[in-house]
Amino acid sequence: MTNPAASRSQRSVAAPRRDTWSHIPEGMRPILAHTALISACFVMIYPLLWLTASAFREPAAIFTSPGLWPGEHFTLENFVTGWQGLGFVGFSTFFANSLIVAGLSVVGNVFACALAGYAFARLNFPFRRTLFALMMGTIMLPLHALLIPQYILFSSLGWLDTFLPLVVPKFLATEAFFVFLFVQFFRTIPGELTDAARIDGCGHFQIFWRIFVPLALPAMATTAAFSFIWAWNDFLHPLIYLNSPQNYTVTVGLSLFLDATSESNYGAMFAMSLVSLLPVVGFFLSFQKLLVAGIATTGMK
Amino acid sequence: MAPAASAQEVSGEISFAWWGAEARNRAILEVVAAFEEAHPGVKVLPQPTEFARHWDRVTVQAAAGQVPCIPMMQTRYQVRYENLGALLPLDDLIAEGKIDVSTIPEELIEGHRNADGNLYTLPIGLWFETYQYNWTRLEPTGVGEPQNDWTYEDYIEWARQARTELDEGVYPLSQLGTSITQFQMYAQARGEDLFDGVEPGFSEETLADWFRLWATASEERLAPDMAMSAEEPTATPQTYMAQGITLSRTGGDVTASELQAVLNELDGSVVHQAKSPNGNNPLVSGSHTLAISTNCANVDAAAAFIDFWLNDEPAAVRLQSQVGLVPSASLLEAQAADPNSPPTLVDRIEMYTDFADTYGVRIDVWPDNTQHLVNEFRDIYQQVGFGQSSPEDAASQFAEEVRRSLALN
Repeated sequence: MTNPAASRSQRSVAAPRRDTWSHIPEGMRPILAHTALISACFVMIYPLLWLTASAFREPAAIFTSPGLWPGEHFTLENFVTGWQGLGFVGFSTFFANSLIVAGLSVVGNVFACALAGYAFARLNFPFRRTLFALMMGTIMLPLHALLIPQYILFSSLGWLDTFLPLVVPKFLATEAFFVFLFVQFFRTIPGELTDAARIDGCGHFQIFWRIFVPLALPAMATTAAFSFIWAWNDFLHPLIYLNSPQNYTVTVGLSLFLDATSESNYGAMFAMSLVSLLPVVGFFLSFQKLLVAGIATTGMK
Repeated sequence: MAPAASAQEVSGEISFAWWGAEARNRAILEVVAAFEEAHPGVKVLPQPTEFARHWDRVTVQAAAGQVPCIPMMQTRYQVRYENLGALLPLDDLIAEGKIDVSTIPEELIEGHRNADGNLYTLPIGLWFETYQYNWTRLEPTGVGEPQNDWTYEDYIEWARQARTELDEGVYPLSQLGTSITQFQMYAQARGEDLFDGVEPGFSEETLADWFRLWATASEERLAPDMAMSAEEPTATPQTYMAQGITLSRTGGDVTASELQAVLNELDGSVVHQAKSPNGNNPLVSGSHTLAISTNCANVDAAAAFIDFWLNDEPAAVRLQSQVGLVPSASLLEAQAADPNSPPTLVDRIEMYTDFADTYGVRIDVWPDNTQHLVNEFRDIYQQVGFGQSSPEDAASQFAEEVRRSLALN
C-alpha cells in the first residue's frame, strides 16, 4: 500500500534534481534535448550512412576516405558491377528468388500459424497443453541441431536445390513463435463472439475465418512483417539448400563479393547491400502502423 | 599409359563447388565454359560461395552423402573429408591416364597424400604467406631489405634499427605473436614444426620464446601492444599496414596487390615481399585442390574436368592464377608470358619460382581437428599480451590443446 507521506518525502528529495536544469532558460531546454537526441540518432544511423557513402565510392578509396561524402571518388560502377552478379546470373535473379521465398513464407506463416494458433487457443483436444508446451519447446532448439537431419529429410524427398525446403515448412506452422503470437492474440477475443457465431450455425473454420481473421489483422501484419524480414535476411538455409546460382537468394548472392582467400569487391558488396535493404525498409514502412498495433495487442516485447 | 581423359568421350552432368569472390568466380566460370566447349557432352553445374560458407555447406552435404561431384578442397581442411570417406582416391584414375599429373613436380603431388596412403586431392592453386614490407617508408630509415633466409630474430634486430628513425605512432612490425602460421616459421627455423604425428611438433620452450619475443617487441614499441593489436581489422584493406600505422606484416601472396592498391590511394608507398622467416627451410605452401566425391555418379567426366584444370594451357592463361599459383611449371611460364597477365601476377610467379628453386616447396597439410587452433593460438597469446598469463603457462596450455586435438583423430 502506498504511504502518502513517504511519497511526498520522495518527491521532496527528487525535487532538487529538477532544479539542476533550472538555470537553463526554458526555451533552450527543447533545443538541447533535441540536439542530444539527434546526436544519438546520428550515432545509430552512422553505419548506414557509411554503407551508403561506400556504395558510391571507388573500391580502393573505401577504407582510406573516412568521410560520409564520396567527393572525387564518387562512382556508380559498384552498382553496375554488383548488379551483374556472377555474369551468367545477375543480381536481379537473386532479388526475384528472395522475393519468391519471402513472399511464400509470409503467406505460409500467416495462414498456417493463425490456424494452429486458433486450435491451441480455442479448441479442446487431448494433450493440448502438452502439445503446446512441446511446440513452445521447439523455439529453444538450436538451429544447427536440426540442420543435418532436415537436410537428409529434404534430400530423400528430392527437394534439394529447390525453394521447397525453405517454403513448405512455413505452411505447416513450424514457426512456433508466430503460433504463440496468434494464441496470445486469440485468447483476448471474447468467448461471447464465438458463442454467438456458433448459435448462428458457424463451425470452427467459419468462426476462424469470419470472426477471428478480421479481428486478427494486427497480429497477421506482425507475422507478415517479421516473416518477410526473417526470410529475406535468412542466409544459412538458402546456403545449405540452394546449390545452383540460379536459385540463390540475395543474402547468398551478397556473399559472392567477399572471400577471405581472394580479392574481395567491397564496393559491389556495399552497393548491393544498400539495394537489398530497400525491400525490407519498404515492407516495414508499409506495415508500420499495423505492426505497432500488433506488438501492442499480442504482448510481444 | 592410357590416353588422357581429355581425349576420351565423356558426357553428362557434374556439379562443381568452390569458394571465391567476384574476380575468382569470373575466372573460374571462364575455365568451366572452356571445358564445356572442349567436352560438348558435359554440363558443369557451378556452386560458388564464400570460403567459410563453403565448409558449412560441404560439411552438411558430406553428412548426407550429397557432396558435389567436384568439391574444391584446401590443405588445412581436406583431411576431415578424406577420413570421412567422402572423397574418392584418385590413384587409379591417374594410373589409368584419366588424369595426367606429369607436368606437376612429384613433391607437390606427394605432399597431398593422406596418411592412409591414398591420394584424394590434386593441387590447382598454391598459396603461401609472405613477409610484406613498406619499402618506400622503411628505406629512408637506413635499414637494408629483408632477406629470404631471415629468421624472426633477424627481423627484430632490423626493426630495432628502423625504430630509431620512425615517428612515435608508426611501428616497423605488426603484432604477429597471435599468428600460428608465423609461429610455425619460427619453429621451423629451430628445426621444429607445428605437428609431429599425434604430438605437437614444437617444444614448449620454443613456444614460450615466441611469446616472449613478441611481448618484448611490444615493450620496445617495435610492434603495436596487445590492446591496439586486438582492435586491428583482419581484412587486408583495413589492416594497420594499409593505414600506414605499421610498416610490415605477413599475408597471403595474393593479398599484396590488394594492400598495394590501398597504399596507392594513401600515400603511394610501394610494398615489397620476402619469404616468411623460416630461415633456410623450404617455402611452406598450402594449396587449393580438386577432389571427386564418392557419391559422384559421373567419375569419368569429373576426372576429365580435373585433367583439364591441370593441363589445359589456354584455360590456365585465362585463369591468371586466381585460385592460387598453378602447380605446373609450364603453365606458370605460359601465364607469365601472356601479355594480358597483370604485372602483380608476373611478380608473384617470379617470386614463387625464385623461392621454389632456392629453397624448395613443402606442402603443408594440417591434420583433422586442428583448424580451431588458429583462434586458440591467438587467444592464448592475447592472455600473454594482456599480462594475464606467463609465456611458460601459455605455452604449456597450447601444447596441451594441440595434444587433445590430435588425440581425436
